[in-house]
Amino acid sequence: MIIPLDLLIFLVLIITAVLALSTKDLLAAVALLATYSLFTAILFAGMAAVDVAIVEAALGAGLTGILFIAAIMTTTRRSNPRLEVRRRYVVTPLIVVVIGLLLYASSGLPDRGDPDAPAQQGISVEYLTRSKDDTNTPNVVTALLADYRSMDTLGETLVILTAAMSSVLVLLRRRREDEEPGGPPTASPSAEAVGPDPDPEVGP
Amino acid sequence: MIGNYPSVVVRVISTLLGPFIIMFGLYIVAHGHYGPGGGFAGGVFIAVGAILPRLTLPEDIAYHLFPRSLGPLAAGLGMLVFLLIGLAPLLVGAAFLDYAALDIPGMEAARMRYLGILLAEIAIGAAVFGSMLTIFDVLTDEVRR
Amino acid sequence: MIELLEARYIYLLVMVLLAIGLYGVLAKTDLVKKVIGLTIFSSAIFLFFIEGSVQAGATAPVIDERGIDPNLYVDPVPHLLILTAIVVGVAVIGVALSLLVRVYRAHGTFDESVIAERLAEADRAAGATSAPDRSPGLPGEDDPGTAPGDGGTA
Repeated sequence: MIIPLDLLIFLVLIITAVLALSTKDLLAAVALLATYSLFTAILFAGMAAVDVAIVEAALGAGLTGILFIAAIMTTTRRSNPRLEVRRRYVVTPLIVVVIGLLLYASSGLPDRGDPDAPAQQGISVEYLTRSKDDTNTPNVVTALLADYRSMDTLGETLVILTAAMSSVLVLLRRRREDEEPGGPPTASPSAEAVGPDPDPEVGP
Repeated sequence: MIGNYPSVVVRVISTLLGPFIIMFGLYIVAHGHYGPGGGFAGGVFIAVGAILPRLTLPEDIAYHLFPRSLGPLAAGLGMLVFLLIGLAPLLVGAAFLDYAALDIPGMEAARMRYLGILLAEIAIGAAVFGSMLTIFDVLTDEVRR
Repeated sequence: MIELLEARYIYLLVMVLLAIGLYGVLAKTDLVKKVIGLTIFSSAIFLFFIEGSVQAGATAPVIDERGIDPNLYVDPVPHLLILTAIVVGVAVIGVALSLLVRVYRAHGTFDESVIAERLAEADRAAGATSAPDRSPGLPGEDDPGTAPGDGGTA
């Protein structure tokens, strides 16, 4: 809520986002993405959303980077895309139109910090006044997460579990296909072909 | 994943840091009632603490500390516990996930909900920890072999 | 004018981040860059949501000794929604990355246009010769055997 600090952080966000998309080295892009997430977490903390800030710091800046690095080490670190000028000519006007429409729509949104905004008047007042007596829990977000809206959270947990299972299924099927037709002779050279290639680049 | 990291400094620091990261994760899970945190953030911290040895220590030690089967096991157990917490109030005829309806003598309704939140957070933490560890293990599987 | 900007500058900045993310998803040919663009895009949306919960003179929604006056605390409902959305977003990134690893094993590259060309070529070859030994279901799986990529697993 300190405006110069907010502007500074937003400047950092824009710079890291542009650099993460434009750099040729995927590992550097992932490092820039983690930086981006960390500054988003600082911004969340500045907006008094402490629970969101800690989750963003742990997941966005920490685990996302680890997952990206794991995938990049298994595959390749270089990104040598073809320049597609034609595609840029199509995409840029499209983005301008979408953002213009969104800006036009945002003129109907309430000002920052307006206490009379509709979002401040609804169910949240009930939650804030009742949470302490109902559940003995001072942190209203936790009370919401695990009590008032625990059905949401149950579905959410199920989604995460499903994501883990589907990524197991996606990557395990390939190995069986590899081993059935080729057998060990084709399986072992392929593993060697993958192994030494990323290691000298990523290793220390 | 990489196995034994060549630098002694990195290995020593990560060995020292790992347990503290996990302890911080457990604190975040348990402290969700009074401050920022809860199952989601805490589970991720614990997962990061379990992934750190895989990135730096020799493989046999790292996979002995946190075995490969730990991820799916924790994820499944967490989900199961959460579902059981939800199903328990059904036995006394209340709604799904309505912790307060469980009538345990000497406990008021608010206290029951407090404990229900704690159990649910622990279950969420286990499920998130297991899922994230599983995704990481699956992604790095090829490099290890 | 200054007051208007002061009250609404965050919408403007969120729009800039949305544009960057959208450009990454639509214009980049590298698939990893597309996932990075997706992450930037979703972060911008999270910022927009949390911005809706900000209230002048209010602090974090943890009830303390100041009492339970709702005007003292910001709206907790967007926090809950975004908290779970972030976790699900990371799970989605995990699935996306495992799909990418699989694509790389089959094609040896992350470049979307190269993969599309190869798939089209394989389709054409299958259509022209209609050889019985080609499996019709997965034209891309056996493709790198004939056209090996850079460091791909044939």
